[in-house]
Amino acid sequence: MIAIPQIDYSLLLPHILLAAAAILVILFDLLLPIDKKSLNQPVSLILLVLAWFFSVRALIPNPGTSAMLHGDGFSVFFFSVFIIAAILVILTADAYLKRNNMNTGEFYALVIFAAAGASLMAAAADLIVLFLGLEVMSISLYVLAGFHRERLKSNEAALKYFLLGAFFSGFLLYGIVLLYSVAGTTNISALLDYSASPSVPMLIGAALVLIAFGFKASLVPLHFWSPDVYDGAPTPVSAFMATAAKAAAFAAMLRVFYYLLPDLGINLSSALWVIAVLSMTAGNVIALMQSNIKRMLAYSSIAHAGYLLTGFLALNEAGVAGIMFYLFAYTLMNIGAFTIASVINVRGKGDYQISDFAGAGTKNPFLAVMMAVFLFSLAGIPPTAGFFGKFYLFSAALDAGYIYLVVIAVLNSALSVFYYLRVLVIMFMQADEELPAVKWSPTISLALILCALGILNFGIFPGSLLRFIGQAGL
Amino acid sequence: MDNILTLTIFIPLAGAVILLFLPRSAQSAIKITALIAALAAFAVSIPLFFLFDVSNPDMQFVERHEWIPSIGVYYQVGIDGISLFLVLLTTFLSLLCIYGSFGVVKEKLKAYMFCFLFLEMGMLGVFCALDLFLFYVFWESMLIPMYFIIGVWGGPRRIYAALKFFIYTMVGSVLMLAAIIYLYLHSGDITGVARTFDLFVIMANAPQTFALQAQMWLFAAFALAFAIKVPMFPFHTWLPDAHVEAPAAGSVILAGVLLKMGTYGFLRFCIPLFPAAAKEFVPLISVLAIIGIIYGALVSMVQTDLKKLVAYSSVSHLGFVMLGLFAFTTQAVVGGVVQMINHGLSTGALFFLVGVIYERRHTREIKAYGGLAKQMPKYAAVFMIVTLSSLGLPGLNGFIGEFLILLGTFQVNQAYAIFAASGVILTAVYLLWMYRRVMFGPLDKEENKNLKDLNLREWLVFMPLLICIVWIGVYPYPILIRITPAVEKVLMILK
Repeated sequence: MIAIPQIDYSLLLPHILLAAAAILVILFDLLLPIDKKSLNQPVSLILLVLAWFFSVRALIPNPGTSAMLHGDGFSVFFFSVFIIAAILVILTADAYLKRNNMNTGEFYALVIFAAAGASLMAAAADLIVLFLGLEVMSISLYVLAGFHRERLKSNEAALKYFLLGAFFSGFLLYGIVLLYSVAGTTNISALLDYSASPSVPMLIGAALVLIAFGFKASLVPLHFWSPDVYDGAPTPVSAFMATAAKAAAFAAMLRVFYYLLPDLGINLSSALWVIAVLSMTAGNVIALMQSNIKRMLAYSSIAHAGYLLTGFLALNEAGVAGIMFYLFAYTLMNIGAFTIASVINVRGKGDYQISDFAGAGTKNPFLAVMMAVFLFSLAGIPPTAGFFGKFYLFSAALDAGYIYLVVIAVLNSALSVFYYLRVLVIMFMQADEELPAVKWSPTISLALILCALGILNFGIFPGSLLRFIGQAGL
Repeated sequence: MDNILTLTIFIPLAGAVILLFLPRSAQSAIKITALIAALAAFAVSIPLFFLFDVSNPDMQFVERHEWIPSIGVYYQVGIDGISLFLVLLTTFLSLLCIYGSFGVVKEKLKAYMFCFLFLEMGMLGVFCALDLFLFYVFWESMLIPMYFIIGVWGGPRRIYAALKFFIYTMVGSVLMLAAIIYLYLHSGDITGVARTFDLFVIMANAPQTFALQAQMWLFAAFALAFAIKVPMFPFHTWLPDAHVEAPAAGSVILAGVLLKMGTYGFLRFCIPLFPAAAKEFVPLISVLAIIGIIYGALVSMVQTDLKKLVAYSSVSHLGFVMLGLFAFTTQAVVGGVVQMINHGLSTGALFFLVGVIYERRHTREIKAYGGLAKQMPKYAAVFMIVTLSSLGLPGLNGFIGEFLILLGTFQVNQAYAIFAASGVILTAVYLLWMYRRVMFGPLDKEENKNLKDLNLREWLVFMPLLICIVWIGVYPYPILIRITPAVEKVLMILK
């Protein structure tokens, strides 16, 4: 007889509810007559909100943890971030899907599946659970990246992401195997018993796991896929990948390495230091030269991964809080920016040129002002949440003694201002009478307003979110 | 009356928010709303002058509220004799700028007024903030409206100028941010209390917390941000571009208030926080200031564009301010503060004056004019007074500041004072020569023969400026008496 262990269903609740929501969306989509498909969107949104509500109601008062899963504040926080990302993407994807005659039900279900995988990653207490989460998320994203079947670039993106992603899943799995060979278990906290005098397989295993996360977070030198994939994938999917998938990678990285890394004895931090500097600098410098808005945002997201890594390197409470705050802010501002890129794209030839923004300040002032908020936040200028997040990350790193790293990071954020401002220049300061005004759906307006309000609110009054994050640390 | 500063800072913001709800076509409603907001901010700031306790060298009207308690950030504002006049200057010039833009700015009026009011809030916040985090937030957020004012309503090369302005300032400020965080992390080192951004706490401890080496680095990080803003030679190259391309009111506010944020920063943060380092930096900063004075004056002399001429003259004038601040004698520092105000008034007025003829003729080339005094006698008279004020004629405001600076500097370093004094002569040369070429000589250009003299709106802008210019020149006592205690307090830290 196989002994069935006691299962604590309350810890599983968020993941079960999310997966159930995704399955329900698929079933519902099947039952809907073809002319009623627009109901998919409200149904998905309602299911997401319900899943969030019941999970949070169950977990916040009684946080718990088991050998497989954590149900602590950290997982609830990331669960909420992924739900928010999914809600925003579903709100904004509608127009894109309709425009390209794509099936909405499948798309929403896949987004929710990806969110379920991501939340499993953030809650994992065991490397196998983590791997499971990563695969659920990644496979959904592979499909989503290629969702625009008629578009060659979309196919290319899916294939590239799939091949490389599968390759790096191998890294992760092999790393887990090596760690298992040392510890005899895949439980993350049990690894700490063996880390004081780490054996060679343990070090290699840890490095391999780190590399796999670095790939998902698109850190240099594992970033090569991201511009092509973000560019080729349907824009709402790019937004989701750049935010939720990156957040999941950082959450997993913190879960595994927050206690392990300082214990390992050898200096992985100097390698991470170099990676952080390279990611920030390469991301920003290459972003300067882009004429395609999606590629620009892709390279900027590499730079943002570098900023986040400075908080990770600090390996202190403030660093974790900084990463959480920044990822939340980053989710809002990046989804906002990608959404506007997708709306504005209709004005041009459909190849996401930054020049398509010309004159948007006069023709579409609402979109232009929203974009300005997102870009200022990405550039880290107060009073936006992007500024406060960056400030918090950098102060954590400075507190840990990384003075030069922080100096390089702040100079990088000054450098990044260049390309963010360029979009503003084109929108507000160059008139182009030929490009028409665009129209967009009310759900997109709603999503943009939510993003902008969040950015300004948590930029000016970060206290409430900080308090929550303070209790939700590792 | 205990939240008078908060009211002053946020009334412009309230006005800006109201503007958002007005339709774009309601031009007169937009104008009136903006004007009322600026007027209200000015009216609320006036009592500061009268309620100000002359005998008290400390911060007054202090307000303190928790903002982000978990990391020790407070909303803390207050003013002393130094910031008092900068606050008044800001509300005063902002009001004039907003009123002076009526009829001049026709495109995107709502956004323009929004930017100006938002900018006013940022500038006031910078001068009032007594919490380093709060200060940085205001310091940076004020970049956004200024960037748009130059970039959207500016001249032909506005995009380049706006970008240059933004990037220069940004590079300086991010290093200051790193230094601010560093100060924060060490704010509890001596007292052992929780870390804070509270300027009072940091100011009380910073001089003892850091060794000279650390102080030097921190000073440099702050100083770079401020030196770019002032702008000190050799960081001044953004200024002529920004000034030339900005709309008239933008130049006024840029020269009148924004540059003062740099000099104010030196006096409020660099010197009291890092006194030992400040002393070490005196030779470098003084020499750069003198180079700025002479270089600015020489470059002004060869300009063919009126706005560029005034812009370079700012480099020269601000050199005087910096020299005074770093002479570390009461007279010189007080002179420096007075000169900040004077420069705001007279250079602000000069930019308005250039704006007047630019609006009529759409050129700023000096050689396009000549003999204007015949056609526009009132304009010429106002221009004369402002020019004389700018070059430091006794009886007008500029003299008070320059004289105090030179007097105070002479006591500590005669060479500095002598070199700087040569700048006074050069200033007279380029300003009077410019005046001659524009105003006198034959009125031989056809286009100039029908120019209209000052209209009522322009009179209403210039009258208050002229009154201030004469008032400070004749009776500076009420100003000096308020500035001196605060300055002496700063200098005490150096001893």
